[in-house]
Amino acid sequence: MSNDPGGEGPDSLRSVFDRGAEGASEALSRWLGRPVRLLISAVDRSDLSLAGDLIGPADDLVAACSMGLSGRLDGMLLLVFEDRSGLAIADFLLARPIGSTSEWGELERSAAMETANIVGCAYLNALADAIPDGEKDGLVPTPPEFRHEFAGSLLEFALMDQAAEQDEILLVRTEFVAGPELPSLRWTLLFVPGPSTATTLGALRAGSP
Amino acid sequence: MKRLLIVDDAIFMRKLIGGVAAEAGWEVVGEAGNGVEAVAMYHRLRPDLVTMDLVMPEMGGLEALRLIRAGDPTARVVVVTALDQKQVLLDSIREGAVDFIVKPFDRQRVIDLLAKLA
Amino acid sequence: MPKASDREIPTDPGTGLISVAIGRWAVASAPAQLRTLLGSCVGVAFHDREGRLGALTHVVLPTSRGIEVDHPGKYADTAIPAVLAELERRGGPRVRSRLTAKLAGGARMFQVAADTSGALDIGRRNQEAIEAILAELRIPVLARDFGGNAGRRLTLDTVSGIVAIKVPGGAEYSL
Repeated sequence: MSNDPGGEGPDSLRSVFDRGAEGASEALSRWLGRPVRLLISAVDRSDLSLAGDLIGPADDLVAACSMGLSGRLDGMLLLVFEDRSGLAIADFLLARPIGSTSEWGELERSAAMETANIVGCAYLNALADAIPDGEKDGLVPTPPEFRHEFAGSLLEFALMDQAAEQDEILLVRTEFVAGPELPSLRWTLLFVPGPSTATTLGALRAGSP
Repeated sequence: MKRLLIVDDAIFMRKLIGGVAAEAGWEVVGEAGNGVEAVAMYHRLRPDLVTMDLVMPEMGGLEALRLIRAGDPTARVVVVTALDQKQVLLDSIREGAVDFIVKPFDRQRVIDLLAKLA
Repeated sequence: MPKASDREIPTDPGTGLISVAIGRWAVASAPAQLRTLLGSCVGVAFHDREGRLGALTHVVLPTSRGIEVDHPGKYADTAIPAVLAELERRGGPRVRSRLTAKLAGGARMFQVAADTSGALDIGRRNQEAIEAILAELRIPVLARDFGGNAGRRLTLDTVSGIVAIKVPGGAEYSL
């Protein structure tokens, strides 16, 4: 795995993703009404065999909300929570003491999905700014889907299209941390680019010559 | 009391908007989870205002907005979306939305807007 | 946990749990356990009770289309021959006649991904390709666990040949 600081792509590409990360971070702060810090904004290129562990041990259970993207920026956005962090967000949004919820009920799932919607759309809005007017049709995500899944299975599902084309995979990873009122809570936003995104963002090439 | 229909696929968001609306002195007469439900409920309930999410399963908010306004050209709909994009704003206005609120929203801004529209 | 991800044939620790990465494979002697996490990919677990050998592949795609590949574990038509060669190297030419197989995976997770690609069918196509190859090799398939919309954690016990499957939020069950 390499955290590509833009060495293979143009600087503008790297800055597009950074703007997305900042937009998502700001939206999350406003949504929670608490400071949320952007920990990592990285473009991961790695061998497919390493993908299962990209967000932690492959057999850890995580909660994830996925949104499909089409048009000039196709692919998938995934907001991934460690169980504890995801349920803590739900508690916080539902004005309950942190730690009082241990199961993903309808309301908790809905809180997580709306969080994903807000974070994912903020990310997409920032990316959309980089695209010329007139080419922005269809930059609307699908409604979030909630999953409770093994981290390794989740990444395998998300990277299936890329894996069908090449042995190297590419994803854009943003990690957030909240505190001090929400201590050591952490979430990861993954953008799994599709083929049109690679074209749209110019020199973005996911491994194939 | 003015009557409000809330349209959002997230039950969490419906509760949140419902709470804000109550604070602003509105009565929530219905909640819809997608565009199809929204159109049917609008024509049955004839609310004074609709808050409309855009990204929803079955039928999205823009299509629902169009159908509601086709059946009742006086319908007043506020779009509430996380999609803060110029194109989306222009599409909403073209379809006849009276206002556009970006999520996550400032609670007071929504209360002020609802008070203005009451 | 030792990793099988960075080389095709891990040094067999003879014990413990060996993790098999996406598109890779591993062979191990009893009493090791082999594990992989599956989504729409298919895990093929081989067992030779008499030879006390087990193998696990994490197949991503049905065919390599005849192209020379860096990692044979990724494709059904290259993974199975690679695993057989290593099993025979370790256990001798009679291994093949004693081998049994169990298959799991092929779930469909995202509605959204399915709309824009052939991902929807990949699990089924993988299964068909694997079953055809195993039939030709006369390796009996003792159990199958396919489909659904959740991932699977597959663990092969090389002593008993039991394949344990766990899905998120569910109890572990055996094949």
